[in-house]
Amino acid sequence: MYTYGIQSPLKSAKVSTRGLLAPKRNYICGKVLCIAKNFTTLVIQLNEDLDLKQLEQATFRVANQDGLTEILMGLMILAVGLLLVNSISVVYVALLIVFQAAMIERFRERYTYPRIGRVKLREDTEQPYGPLWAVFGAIMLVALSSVILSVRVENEILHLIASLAPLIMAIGLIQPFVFLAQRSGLRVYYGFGAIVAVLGAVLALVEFPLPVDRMVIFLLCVGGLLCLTGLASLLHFIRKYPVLNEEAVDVDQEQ
Amino acid sequence: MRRLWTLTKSNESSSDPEINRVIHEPSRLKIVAQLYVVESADYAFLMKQLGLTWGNLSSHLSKLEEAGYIAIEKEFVDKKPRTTLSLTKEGRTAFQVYRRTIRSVLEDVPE
Repeated sequence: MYTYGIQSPLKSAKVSTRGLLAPKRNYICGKVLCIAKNFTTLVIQLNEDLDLKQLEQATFRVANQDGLTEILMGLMILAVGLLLVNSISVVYVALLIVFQAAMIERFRERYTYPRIGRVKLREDTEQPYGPLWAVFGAIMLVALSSVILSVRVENEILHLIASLAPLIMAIGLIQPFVFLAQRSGLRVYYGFGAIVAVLGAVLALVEFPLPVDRMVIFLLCVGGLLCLTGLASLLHFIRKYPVLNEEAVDVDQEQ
Repeated sequence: MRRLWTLTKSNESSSDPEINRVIHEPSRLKIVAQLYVVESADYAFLMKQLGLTWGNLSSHLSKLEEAGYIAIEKEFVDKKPRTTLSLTKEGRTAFQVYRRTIRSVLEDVPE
């Protein structure tokens, strides 16, 4: 997760409440303008500093700045790529899907929470289920199944779809990047989506002996890019945040 | 001048909006706003996010707990204490009412 310039809007917020605690007392002739000025100041601050959408995005960035989101996404894409090369890697994909939540939690217990604390994001916005994700799933299914079937079945239309599969998949992958951009407020994810789309288009135009080769190269490039980005974020995160003093936390919590 | 007089008269006659003073305090407002956008968080996370000291945070959390706005759950995991903080239903409602109140008050202020 890119974290450049992360700062909670609340940390920098300066909420001035002077003059607001006694509105009744101050609503006397001659004081109205003073009150109005204070209120105006507060509304500006409420809009700018306490914007809940910005705050939610900042919290999402902080919670995911360890790079695990990118690493996991990259591993999944790499796994699908390996699946096209060797069917035995289906075991690797299955293990990754089954144990991903437990692995992430264990990793975060060890490296993330001791550094930034523990936060649980709201589940209603955290889990992205909706029509766009159904479209994303359908696009992925079409792209992958066309590539797999093109090896076994001789059909011109199927081969055409399989040769365009990287582009189809790139279009499908725009959805997760848009989701990440909206949740985190980081436009860099739109850039990721654009790079993936361009890569898909280029690979769809280049000649390959088999459509499956084209798809494997596409998946390895995208998965590798995400894994490297995630690892860079993880190293940056570990260097930036030292482990919090546990004794101070324990004493305070026991009080 | 006439406009000022009208505003003053109207404010005197209408009932003043009740601002929730528990939430209105700046540090507590930050805590409630932060907990509003998450499901739960611990001390360390809030301290780092809000830039508050342990003692300061603890005292504000006590006041919010007294008001019934936050739930503090303490447990031991691997022999280590873990305190999880979350906004209660009352706290969530109170924050929504607070935001509406402030907004309505500000809407009455002339530009």
